[in-house]
Amino acid sequence: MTEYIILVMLSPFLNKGMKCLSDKELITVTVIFGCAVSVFPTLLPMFPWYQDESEMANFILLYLIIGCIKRLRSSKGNATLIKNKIFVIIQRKPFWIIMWVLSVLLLGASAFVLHRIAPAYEMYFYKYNGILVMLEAIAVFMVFLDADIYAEGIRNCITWVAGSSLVVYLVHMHPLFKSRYKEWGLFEFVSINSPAIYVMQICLTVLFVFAIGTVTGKVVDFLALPMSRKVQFVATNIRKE
Amino acid sequence: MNQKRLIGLDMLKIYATMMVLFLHIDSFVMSQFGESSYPGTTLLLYFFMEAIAYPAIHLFVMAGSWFMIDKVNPLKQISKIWSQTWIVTMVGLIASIAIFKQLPSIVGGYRAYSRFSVVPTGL
Repeated sequence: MTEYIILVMLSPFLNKGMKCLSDKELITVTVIFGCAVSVFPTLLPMFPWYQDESEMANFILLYLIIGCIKRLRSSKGNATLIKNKIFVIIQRKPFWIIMWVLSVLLLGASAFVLHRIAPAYEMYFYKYNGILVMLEAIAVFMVFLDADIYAEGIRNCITWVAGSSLVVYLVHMHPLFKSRYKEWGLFEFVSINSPAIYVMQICLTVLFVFAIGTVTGKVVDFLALPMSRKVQFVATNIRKE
Repeated sequence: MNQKRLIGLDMLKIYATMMVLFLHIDSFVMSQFGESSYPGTTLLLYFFMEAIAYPAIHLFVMAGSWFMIDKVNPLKQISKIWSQTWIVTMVGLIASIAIFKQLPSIVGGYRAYSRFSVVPTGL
């Protein structure tokens, strides 16, 4: 959370910096930063930053990647880019679906194989700055970016539910509940011996917690809105003074 | 076109939230039973579910970043996030003092007298 709020505060400065760069320069900076934050630490474990796994650097990399995506999409009419075969391929959704599936398969398979041959390293590729995780994140984002929903009712429902996504996260990770999950024996019913039932039980629990969190989120939004407006008012007036 | 893109990012936020819940619930279950008690097929499913859910936080950041780019003043977003976090924290704290200080004792007492209880807790 802290890193995300810092990113929000840094965003005007990052935006200014990105505006000064051309398309090619922005992509170059992003690639260099990506190599430093993600590629080298994954491929070269002795890389000094690997152990730190800095979330802030990761978030800034994601911000730069989004900046590149936005720039390239606004450059769709650029004749030079259209001739570039790679640019044409990455515009297509099937490419990103394939990337999504591939990264999931590689991640899961790597953990299972490493579990057999080197159990201490089974989660080696499961790092927030890992290449496969970053690739999967970009692929999922690109798949969802142009998703279409035509029914007005469903669209409104999705927007309504999405508004509480932060509160769902805050509520289920609140120390009040988190420390009591084990005390309440909340997950003792999960059947790990039957794979299908295991998956179904986890999915149903996720839906249940999500539903509770969304309802709570609407209550919190109702309470938080006046406070949010007051904070904005005070902060704006302080800036004017 | 802009409206459809917004819907895509809203769907992405819902998907990312569910993946965060997936990650945490999966790890709670794993910590409860221990990895050694997982049969091979279930363990494989566990790894693949983790693989699907792992980029959840990245998706939140990317969805938020999409709107932050080209924005000059992030004050509205910061105040909204801070207010929501403050409300959830304070309500939780009050509930923890007022409600749960007593509730575990009631639950523990019931379990102590229940024939299915092994260890009386909370009394």
